[in-house]
Amino acid sequence: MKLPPIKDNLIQLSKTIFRTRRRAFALISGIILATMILSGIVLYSSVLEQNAFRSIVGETDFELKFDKTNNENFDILNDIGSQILSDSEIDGQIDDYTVVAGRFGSNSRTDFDINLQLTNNSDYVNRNSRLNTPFRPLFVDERFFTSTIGNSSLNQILYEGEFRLPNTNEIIIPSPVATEMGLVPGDIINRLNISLATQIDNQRQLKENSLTNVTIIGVYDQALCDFCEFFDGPILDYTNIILNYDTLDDLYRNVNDLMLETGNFELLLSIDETKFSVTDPDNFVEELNTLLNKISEKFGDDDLIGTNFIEGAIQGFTFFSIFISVTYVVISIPVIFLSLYVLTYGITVSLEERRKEIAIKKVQGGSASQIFKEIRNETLLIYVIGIILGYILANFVPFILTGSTGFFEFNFGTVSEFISYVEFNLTSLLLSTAVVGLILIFVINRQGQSFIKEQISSAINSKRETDYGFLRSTNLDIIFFIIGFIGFGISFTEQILRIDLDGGITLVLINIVTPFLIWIGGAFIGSRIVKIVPQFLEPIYLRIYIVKDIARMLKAGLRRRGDINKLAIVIVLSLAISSLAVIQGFTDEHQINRDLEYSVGSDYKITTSTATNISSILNDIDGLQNVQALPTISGRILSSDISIVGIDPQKEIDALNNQKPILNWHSDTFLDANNQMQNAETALEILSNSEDGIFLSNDLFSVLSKNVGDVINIAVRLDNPTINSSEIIFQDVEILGIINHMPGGLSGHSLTSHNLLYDFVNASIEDDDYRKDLISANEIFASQYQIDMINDNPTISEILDKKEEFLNVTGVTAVSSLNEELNEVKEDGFGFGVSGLLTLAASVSLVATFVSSFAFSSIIMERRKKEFAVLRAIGARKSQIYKMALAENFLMMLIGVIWGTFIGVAVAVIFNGFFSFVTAGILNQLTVDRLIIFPWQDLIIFGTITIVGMMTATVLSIRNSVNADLTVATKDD
Amino acid sequence: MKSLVVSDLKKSFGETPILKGINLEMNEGDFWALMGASGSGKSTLLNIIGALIDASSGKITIDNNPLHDLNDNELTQMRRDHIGWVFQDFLLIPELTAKENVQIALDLAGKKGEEYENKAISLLKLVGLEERIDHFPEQLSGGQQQRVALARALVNDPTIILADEPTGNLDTKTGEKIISIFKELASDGKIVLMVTHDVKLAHAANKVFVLKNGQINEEIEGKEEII
Repeated sequence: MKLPPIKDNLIQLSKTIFRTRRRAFALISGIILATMILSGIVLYSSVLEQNAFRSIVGETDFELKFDKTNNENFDILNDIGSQILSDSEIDGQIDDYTVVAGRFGSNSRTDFDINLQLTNNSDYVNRNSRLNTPFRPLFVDERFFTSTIGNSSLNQILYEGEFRLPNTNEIIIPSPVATEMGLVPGDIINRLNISLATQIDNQRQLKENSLTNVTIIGVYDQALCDFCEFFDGPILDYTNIILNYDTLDDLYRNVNDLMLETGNFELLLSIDETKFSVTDPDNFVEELNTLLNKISEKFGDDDLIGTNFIEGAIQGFTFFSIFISVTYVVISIPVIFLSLYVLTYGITVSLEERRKEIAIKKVQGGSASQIFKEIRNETLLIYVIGIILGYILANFVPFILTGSTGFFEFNFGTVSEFISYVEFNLTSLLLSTAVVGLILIFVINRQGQSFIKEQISSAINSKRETDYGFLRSTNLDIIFFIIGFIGFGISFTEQILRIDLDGGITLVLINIVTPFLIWIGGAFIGSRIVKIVPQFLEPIYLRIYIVKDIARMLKAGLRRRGDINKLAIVIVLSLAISSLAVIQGFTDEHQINRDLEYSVGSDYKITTSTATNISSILNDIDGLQNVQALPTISGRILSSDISIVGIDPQKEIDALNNQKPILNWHSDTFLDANNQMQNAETALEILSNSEDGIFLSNDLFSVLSKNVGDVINIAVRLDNPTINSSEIIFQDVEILGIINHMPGGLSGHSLTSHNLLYDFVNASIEDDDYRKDLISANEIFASQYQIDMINDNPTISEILDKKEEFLNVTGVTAVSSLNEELNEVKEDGFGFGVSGLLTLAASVSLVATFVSSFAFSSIIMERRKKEFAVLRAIGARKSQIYKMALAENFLMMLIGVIWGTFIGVAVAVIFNGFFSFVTAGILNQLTVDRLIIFPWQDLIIFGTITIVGMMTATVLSIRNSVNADLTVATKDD
Repeated sequence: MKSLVVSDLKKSFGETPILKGINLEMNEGDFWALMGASGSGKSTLLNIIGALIDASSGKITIDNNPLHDLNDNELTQMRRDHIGWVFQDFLLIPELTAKENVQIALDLAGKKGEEYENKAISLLKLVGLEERIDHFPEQLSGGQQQRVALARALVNDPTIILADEPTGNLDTKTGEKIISIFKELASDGKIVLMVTHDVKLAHAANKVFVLKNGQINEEIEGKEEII
């Protein structure tokens, strides 16, 4: 059977590609790499965004809310909810519903007042002191405890007591109320008052009633909420006192009637996420709005008003995600450039390989268009295959790599799980298809046409001219490098030498622009270096015993490095990216930990609503090792208001000596007069030995224009309204040094010892009995306590149990756990997004190096086949040929790797300023100085792996040439 | 007594027989030329004798050392110690000087030191290149390059010089100079086997063979003195 022409052509093309697989490999590897990178980065950031978005959606207990303006009551809304759930048109899009009353009001003029009275003699409590917000009642029915909405809400919280619907004389209360009033489940309070005031027709209406002897059946703590800033929080927050709806219906009938008038009943609906485009914010909102209207139309009579509860979250998140995506693109520019360079190089090398073939075809009478068509068809087939393979890899490689480093959760236990990661993202596919296609068209047109038009004789006979590229031939590489190096010098001075150059926006621009200049310039200079340096090293290198027998052959090879300059560029580009990624990956990970350590300050940070003395109570808690109270007072130095933290320095020194400090001290927590880092122990010793010394905050030190050792006067006043506001001036307080950042998130605070703080307090409160008691008891009252736990690696449940235990301590209003916050960062995906992306960049650049080494070394070695054959003919063993090629490449690779690492270090140092700017300047995160980490051991390992990989690629690529038929090779041109 | 003995040598490429039982014996002082049409197998025969490729069957001995049944390293050793190759397009290493190109063959044989450096120089003098010792190949003419290649072939004092179209890329006058060097080498006791298409140059050899249909079927006594 005759094959159709297209199939015939394809088979013929495939055969040709297979026969010329060496050049096809160079081309296809470039296409695969570029496609994988371009699509992979889009997919990776898209998946991260989707994960974060999914987390937001996951944190909402419900997505839709309905108010019925007429005839609104619990039963009617419950009935509508039931109908929606079973409606065929809704088609299961609604997962569950519940009805609540009181939590939300469609009429903003309604004003609940619910208060609790513990005993007949006690005061009413009607506010959440932690949030300083009034309580609101939340009336629920049985469904709240059985529906997914209520369960989702209640499952996220810490709960103590009976988990059930309260009876009509029972309530569930939030933990701050329980703490403040000393209540536990089972306790009975004397009275519960509920009042509702509103304006109807300009008439103020007030309805109220009371319950007596109300039993507390449960205490809940607020749900953890990572993305609460994006939406209106979970159903339950600390403002709600949960009651049975029947209580409202039976006992607060008058309140109920008013609530019916003011629209305080809500039907809450949760969706079945699987039936929506949850990971596509725009479509998701549209789908939800469509559903809202469908429900309003079908189940209401123009009086069922729906609200898309997470629309606001999406808007907030969109801005955030756009910014993150831009950051990702900036970080990815080097690796994108590298992949495109490898692609261009691959195309060029592939075309050069067929230069002679083109000339021969011309001799045979082939027209330019025929030859070009042949090249085009062959390239097109390789392009299609490369794009498909590259896109498949893009779906897995970023996630496998980042998953393997723990920066991303990637589960592929089963085939179906693995396949579920394949995503057809049109943007990512079109981007790589278009960019790679355009580069192919451009290079093939330019280079291919130039070879086709070339003089036949020169194509067949002349040596290949080394193409150094535009940058090198115009010496722009040197200019780029010099500018970049100046940027490096400035960043080095600022970040490593810690000399403030006060660069402002100029420094930001330097941080953004110069990394690219030093990287590209450095790579092209690298191609010069790998040629020049071996000539200097030649006399020493050739004396090495192992290469003595091939010294003269090696000498020839070292002098011939011209054909390897482009490979050198790839090596330098790749190594620079790897080094940048390794350094900044470590730095970023380190920085996330540092930021958390700083903001929490120790294992646990405990905050109280007012200054209290709870050290001894805390010390009684099991598992706790040490407590440091951090009392704070306000003061003034000249015209600057200051905030002073007191510490027991000797306690901290003892803890440091036991290798278990209470607070998280960093190498740059304290600075000396020259802005150089000072060891925390040394600084605390200085503080301990000083009777009246203080470490000033960095900013304060700058504006006071004083030196370490100078003395200052501090005016002290206390933030207590009962105290006379006059200030006491303390004279001759010695400046001991600078505190860069105080653990516990106390930014901008100065630090002194408890002793001096006692003096300040003592002197400023002579008329205040309360403070006098404080001093006489020789105890420190603080609103922040830092806790060091014995167990360094608690489980989540241990963290939460302990947190709950701390919260039960009277006066405690907030507990932050370092481990808990770290776990949250790991879970949300964005926290380590940059680290993950850098891991991806490092791995891809390594692969790029190997692939380039193999592809280009194969071609280079193929060109040297004749040389090897001659050497074999005159008596060289195969092992000597291998040794020669490896020794030649080793020196070049070693120089390339060292230079590339240096460029990477320089880029990482400059980029550090960019990252600092992004986190502190734009994202406005609570952050400390971004200290760059140089993981030299890892850099050496990376460099070694690169060299070993490239040497392996050399061995693999040389095999054919060394084993070539000597008779053919000696004649082969 | 130096010798090259080829017995019933056969070589096929796939199903196609190229050499169908070659027998020849050369001794010290022999300078033979091998002629034949393109594809007749003359280069193949030279490459088998030069230990570049294996024969399908038959035996070859050089100085009574068998060439057949040797592994790759042993073949390399034979090429180093007993065979000197001269190629049509010289095949010098462009990054090395004339002297270094010659020294490479010594290096590979593990021969280093002043003695061997002097040997390389003296061989270059022998081929008339004493003024060009430190010149790079691109600074030399084709004939000079071929003489460097000849010095390289001689530097390990081989039994046989195998020359594959050594004058193919040279003009007539230069080619004749190269042939005269071969004659001198033969008269000094070397065995020289040269493949050529040039009848005139071939007749400078002691004997001229023509390879036809895989066999040496003609033997012509050299009668003319070319130089």
